[in-house]
Amino acid sequence: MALRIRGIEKIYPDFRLELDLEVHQGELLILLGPSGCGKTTTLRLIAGFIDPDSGALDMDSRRIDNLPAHRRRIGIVFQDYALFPHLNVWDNIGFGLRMQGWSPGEARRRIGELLGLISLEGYGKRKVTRLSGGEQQRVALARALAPQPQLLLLDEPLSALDAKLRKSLRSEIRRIQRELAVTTLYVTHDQEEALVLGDRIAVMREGHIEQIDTPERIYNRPANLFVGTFLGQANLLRGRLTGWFAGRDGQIAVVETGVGKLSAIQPAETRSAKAKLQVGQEVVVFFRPEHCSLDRQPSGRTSRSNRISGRVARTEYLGSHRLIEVEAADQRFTLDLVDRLTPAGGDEVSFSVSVHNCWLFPR
Amino acid sequence: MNKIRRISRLFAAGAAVLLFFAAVAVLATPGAETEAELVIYAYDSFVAEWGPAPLVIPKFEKRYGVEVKVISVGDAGQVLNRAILERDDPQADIVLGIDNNMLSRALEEEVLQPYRSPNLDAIPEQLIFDATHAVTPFDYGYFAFVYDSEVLDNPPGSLEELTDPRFRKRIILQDPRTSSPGLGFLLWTIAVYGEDYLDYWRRLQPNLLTITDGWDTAYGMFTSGEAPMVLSYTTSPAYHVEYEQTERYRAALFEEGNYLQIEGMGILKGAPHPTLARRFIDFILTEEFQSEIPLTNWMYPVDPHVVTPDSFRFAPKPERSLQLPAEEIRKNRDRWINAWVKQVSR
Amino acid sequence: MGKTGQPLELALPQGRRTSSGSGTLFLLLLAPAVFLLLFFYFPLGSVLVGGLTDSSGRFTLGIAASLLGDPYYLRIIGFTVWQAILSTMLSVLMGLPGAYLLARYDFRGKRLIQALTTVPFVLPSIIVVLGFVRFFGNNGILNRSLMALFRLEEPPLRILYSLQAILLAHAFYNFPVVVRVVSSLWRRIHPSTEEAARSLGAHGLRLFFRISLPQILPALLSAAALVFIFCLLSFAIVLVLGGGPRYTTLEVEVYRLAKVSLDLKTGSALALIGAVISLLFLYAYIKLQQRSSFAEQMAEDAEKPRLAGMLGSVRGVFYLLYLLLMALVILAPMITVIAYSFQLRSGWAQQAISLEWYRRILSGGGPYLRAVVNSLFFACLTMLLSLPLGTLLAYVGARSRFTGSRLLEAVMMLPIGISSIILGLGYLKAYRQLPWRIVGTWYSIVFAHTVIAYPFVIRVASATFRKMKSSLTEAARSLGAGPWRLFWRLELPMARSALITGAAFAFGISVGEINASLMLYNERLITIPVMIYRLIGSYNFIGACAMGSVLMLFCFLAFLIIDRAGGEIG
Repeated sequence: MALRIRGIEKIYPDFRLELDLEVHQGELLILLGPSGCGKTTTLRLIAGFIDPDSGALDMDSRRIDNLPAHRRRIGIVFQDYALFPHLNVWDNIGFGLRMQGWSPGEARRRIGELLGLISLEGYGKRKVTRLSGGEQQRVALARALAPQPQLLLLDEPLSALDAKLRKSLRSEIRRIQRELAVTTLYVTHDQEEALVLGDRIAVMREGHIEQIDTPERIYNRPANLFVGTFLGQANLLRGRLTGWFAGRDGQIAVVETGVGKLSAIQPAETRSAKAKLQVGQEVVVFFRPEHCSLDRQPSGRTSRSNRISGRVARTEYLGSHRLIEVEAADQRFTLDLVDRLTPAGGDEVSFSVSVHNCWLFPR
Repeated sequence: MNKIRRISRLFAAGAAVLLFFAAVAVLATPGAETEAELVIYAYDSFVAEWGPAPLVIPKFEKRYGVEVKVISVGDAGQVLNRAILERDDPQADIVLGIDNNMLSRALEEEVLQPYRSPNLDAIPEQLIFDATHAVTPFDYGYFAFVYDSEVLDNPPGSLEELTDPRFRKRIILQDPRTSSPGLGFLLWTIAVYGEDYLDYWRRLQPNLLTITDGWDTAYGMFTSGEAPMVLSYTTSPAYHVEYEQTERYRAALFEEGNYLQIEGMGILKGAPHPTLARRFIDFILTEEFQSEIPLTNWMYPVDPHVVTPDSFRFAPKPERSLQLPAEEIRKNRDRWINAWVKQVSR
Repeated sequence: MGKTGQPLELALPQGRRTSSGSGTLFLLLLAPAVFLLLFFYFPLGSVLVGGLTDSSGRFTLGIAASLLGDPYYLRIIGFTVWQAILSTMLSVLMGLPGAYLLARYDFRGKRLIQALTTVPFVLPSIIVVLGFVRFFGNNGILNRSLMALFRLEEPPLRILYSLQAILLAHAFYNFPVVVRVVSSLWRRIHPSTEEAARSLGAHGLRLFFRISLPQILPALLSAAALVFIFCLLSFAIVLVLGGGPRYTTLEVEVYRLAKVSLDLKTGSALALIGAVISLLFLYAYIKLQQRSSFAEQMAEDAEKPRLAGMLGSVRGVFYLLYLLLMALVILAPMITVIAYSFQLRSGWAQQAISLEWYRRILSGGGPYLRAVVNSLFFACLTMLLSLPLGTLLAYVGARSRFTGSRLLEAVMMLPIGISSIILGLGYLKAYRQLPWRIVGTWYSIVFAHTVIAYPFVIRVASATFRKMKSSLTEAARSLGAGPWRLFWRLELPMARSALITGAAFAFGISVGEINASLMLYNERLITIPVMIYRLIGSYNFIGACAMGSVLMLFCFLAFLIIDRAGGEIG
């Protein structure tokens, strides 16, 4: 089933939610954003626990926003799992089947199926209060999936678990979702989760969607500074646009910054969405730490890369890679390197970034 | 929930429902109820198994070949209350339990029809407390202080002596607002001291252990030994003699006299069976009825010719009997009680 | 708790489009409303109207106003409220540790003790007074033992006939209310919050006030509200154990006016004032309860440490002292009454032990056995009726949002704020006119008892409903549970322990009810309290104590069974 959110609006005293998006059949769409951006409100609107002030919700071209919550056939996994404490695992999973009138035989088969799916065979009789966090999470998932919902909503389901468990469970969730091909909306504030799980990611801020795209495009072609800095790390450099010139693959801007003149491009998404930046405009140059590489050439710029020199302020060893903080002209830059080179604090270094990895945004 | 459990639960529920209905059926069937030909409202202890009703009613029924139904409605006050509530459509013929302190109220409400039984000729004049004969007396008693002779070897002989310091915190009384003996005692003090009764109470107060809501609580505390003296009736000791074979409890007769309580019954206005009701009034003044009174109702029969049982030796009658006129009670009762409360609350 | 910027939803949200929801809710209310209308408001109105009309039948507040202007009554009203407040505080103080022990620890005989400590609640006041007098009185067991032990001349402990005695007796009566109501919520709160606080350095009283108290507050307020109302309407205990008219409550005057002076007009007006006062306090409690309720993760079957293991520590000593004190106050009077019933004659001197009265009671055909059977029958029916009635109303009350819903909730509770004397009178008066008999039937007694008992169920259930986490109801709804299934399959099962408490107390209230029963009974329908009253009225104190002991026994057994059926303890 495909979900269509058409012009949904919800107005609160200090906050306004405006949504217009479509979730494709069978896809896992991530709703990503900081606290208070409206992700959970969105879920609750879709589930039917709150009513929008205007707009409509369609599921497969049929309106569902006029249905009460218990008739929408939407499965929900809550942050606190919300397992029914007075029922055991079996009855929890079977609750929806009971509500929706499945025959006992069918129900029994289905519950058994799901226990297998979540790898908790034999747990049927257990009391849910005796389960570990991860087990509870899986039961909550099974319960939501049991009645074959047309849509699955997950509200930060892994936030209460430790890192390792989170990683393994998230691949479980992904696997199950793919296997059942159920349209899913997944709310999280964890970017790693978003990148790993999502077919598409919708980045939200203060009640509306900043950008909705595949993880690669969100990461590599952020629509604005907010999206760019929310997902992944970024180095930001303020400057003034002094001119445009034609490069091989398009227009290249020249920006006067605190560390000298740099070249940058305006990514296609921003370029088409907004007007081309004007000369003299205050801008921000954006590049990611992992796009930097240390080199021994003196500073300067070429037509293909920018070079910045500075002094190593700090290094962080992370096993498979290393973070290096470079100070240059009262600015700090973070580099993410897999080099064997190990500069020490205080060393003079210079690094370069490809022009195509330097993106220009309005201030 | 698996099938077996579900089925057995259903069975249990079904059985419970069946049992329920069976119980309902049993309790609800009124039993062979033929139309009663006389209905009497009485206070509870009259109707009780050990009260007068089981003994006297069959006698009447046999004599006249009728069926009588005696309904307990609580205490004497409630009897009158029911009569008042039902004045437009009386469900009973006779109300039993109206005493001399309640008479004014009963007459005021005009719920009774007068009838002077010819058998009243045999009854002493001073016991006929209703000149209009709406209420016919059937027994009487005196309020008295009952004491434990094993604890108190120097009992009081008068109201005044009751205030003696040697009785400090040794007297249990009842509240006149909620208890008939309590009211009786208050009226007693007024009959003796007139409007100075409040002064008497001021002097009496230090001797009071507590003032209870009803006679039952007071007497229970007395027999539990909390205090050696309690306000009760002159007939109380007789009970202990008769059923507990002990003579330790005695009644004190006072110089000034003891206050009289006369109980009566009357025919309701608009009673469904007035003729039979009159026969019953006649009946209560006969020896058949009167002889049962002492040991079942623990009062004196109004018929002076009835011989009281031996145990009534310990239920002495005072030389002087005190009474306040009904009209005076009606006019002043609330004022007296309110002033009393104020006084005793200090 | 909501994140910043997102609204906090405590319960079912208001829904423009949840028409089926509000429709079902309305239907749910219909049956209870009709029942209450017929068996409470109608009879009540027919009596109270007397207090609101003058002799020519016109509506007037004059009677009530003159009462309020009379310093005599004002003083009484003031004292009534004051002693109720003090009694409530004492009852809560006494009951809280008990609730804690019951909720957090495991010990042998837990079920027994829980059932036992509930018994005082059902006892008719005359039995309570007798028990207290015989144990705590100047000539009571306690004093006499002390005098014998220490060779004293005068009784050392003059506890009775004072304000303290009133408070103590009230606490005795109401202790089970606090213990049961609070513990049934407390045991559902996961100890993890307390453990977390402890790890952060909080302990003892601080822990209690900062962590535990806010969590149990709704139940505490429920219990306090109930205790307060019961103490407000207290009658015999205040008078007797207080020592005299100095300690007069409203109910004494209502009794006087209604039963002795037979002045129903003034009596009704006074009862009306009492009802308004009760209503005000109930409203305040409900509002407070609403504010203090927040959804909690409810725990079930959390592992509980054994009490026996605790006894070595300082804390354990405290617990022991507490248990001993409670045994003294709660059990001693009851045991005294039971002991008395085995005597042959009244008075202390006669020590002959005899089962005479029990023989009489158990001999079939006698009125005693009938009274016992009747009482049990009525109590079961009352329980069966008041449970759904009270639960439904509590549910609707906890879930409704409209303005004035709190006031409506308070009005629902009205029956326990009304003197049962007035209610009984109301039944008599109102049903006179009807073509079919109501007075003197078994169902009138059951209905009267139900009306008196259901507010208890409401109070107990609503505390639990308020605390239910919204994500649970939302999960159920998303799985297809409509409003009815939601109630039936989720919220009701989860409120089970509260409902058990409600059931037990409804049973107990019915068994111990005296005033309304006195108005409505006849020979066939006599109940144990009426029988006790009748026995006492003819000098049979021993017999009365024997019936009282039978009453205690049956209630004890009933509580055991009810608790077991609910499967809550242990």
